[in-house]
Amino acid sequence: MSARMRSVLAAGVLAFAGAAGAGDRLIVTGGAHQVEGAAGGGIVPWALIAGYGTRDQVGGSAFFTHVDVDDFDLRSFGAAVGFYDRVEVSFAKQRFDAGSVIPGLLLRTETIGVKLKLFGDAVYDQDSAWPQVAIGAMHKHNTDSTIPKAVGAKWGSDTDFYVSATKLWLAGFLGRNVLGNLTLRATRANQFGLLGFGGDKSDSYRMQPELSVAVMLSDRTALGVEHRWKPDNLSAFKEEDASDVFFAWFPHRNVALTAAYARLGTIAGKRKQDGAYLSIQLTH
Amino acid sequence: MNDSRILAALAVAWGLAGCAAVPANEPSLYARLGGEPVVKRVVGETIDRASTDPRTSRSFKDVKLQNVKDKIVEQICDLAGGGCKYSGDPMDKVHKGLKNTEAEMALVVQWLRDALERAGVHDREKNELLRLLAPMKRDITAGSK
Repeated sequence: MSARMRSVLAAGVLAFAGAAGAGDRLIVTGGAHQVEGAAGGGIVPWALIAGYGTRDQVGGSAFFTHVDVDDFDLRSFGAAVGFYDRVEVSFAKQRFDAGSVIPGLLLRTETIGVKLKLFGDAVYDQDSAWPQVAIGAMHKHNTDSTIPKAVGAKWGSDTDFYVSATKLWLAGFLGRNVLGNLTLRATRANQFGLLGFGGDKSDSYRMQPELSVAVMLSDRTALGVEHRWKPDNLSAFKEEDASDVFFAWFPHRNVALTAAYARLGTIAGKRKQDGAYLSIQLTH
Repeated sequence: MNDSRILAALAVAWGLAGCAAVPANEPSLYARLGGEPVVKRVVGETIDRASTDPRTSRSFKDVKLQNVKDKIVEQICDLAGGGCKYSGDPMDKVHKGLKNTEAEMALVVQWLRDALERAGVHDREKNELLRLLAPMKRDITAGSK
């Protein structure tokens, strides 16, 4: 994808996300923005369509996320538009501060995502065991792939493909509402794509599961855990699973704050990268 | 970590979620909601709001509001184990021709939640009631598809 096409798409997503009319779906049902920009939890995309738009409406959301682990710092921001509770288009920029490895090193990635809801209604289909199911793609591009390629990555841009199943069980656990999500992602990204794609160890797509489970403590707050398996393509840098424990709060229908403790494992030779994840989101 | 074992456990958990056994001696949901006085109040407030808010009032023109409220109370009593038998028309027939949108439905659900909270209904009972009512969305919004 050319740089011009990406910037046109990005501008389109941002303009649409801001201009879309207010949607009327129930509070919280647009989810949060995961770090790559799709509607989901903190690190896992869900089958929910971003924003509050119903099947007759266009909704949108925007976010800023800061992840601060021991030796690295990741900032991600972006927006998504949900069309008719059916199609989601997202755009996000990630800035990864790897100054602890090479002083001054900032790795930037752009991610364009598209998601299509196939069937099911995670919230209302309470008489059925079926979840809401969506398929999606994330096209990621390293602004400068010199460093990723120097450490063994094969590509500076690539596309992840995934399928997500999400379900809300009303009064599912001790009278609380429970959300479950399982995502299967075909990917060859190294560290979410921040360190490029494919590597000397493996250059083929691997199917990786990603899980989220959250308990709604009220209609406005959720406490959850996530786990995301990742490939290990680079012989120079071992890569491990990522997980988090999150608390999300919607103080207002249109505002969400998420705080999490993230465990990102070994990154670029630095072991046990743990730290705080903070995200703010506007949804309409 | 054994990935396939974790996935198998998740699949089982998925199948079991929401099927937690209810003790036989537990009072009915209708009783735990507070019975007829509370349900009447909650339904009354919800329908009063829905029939006057400009975003949803169109569906309540030319209907006897007290009759609508009585039928909904009866229906909740039936669904929640209160011992009533719902005598009204099925949901698809009741909403036929109204072309109710998902947006209208979600607004009424939110007002119902608000009314349940004002009436002091606890989260567990609120969520259990919504679980019984949620599948009605298909029939209520069928006309706007």
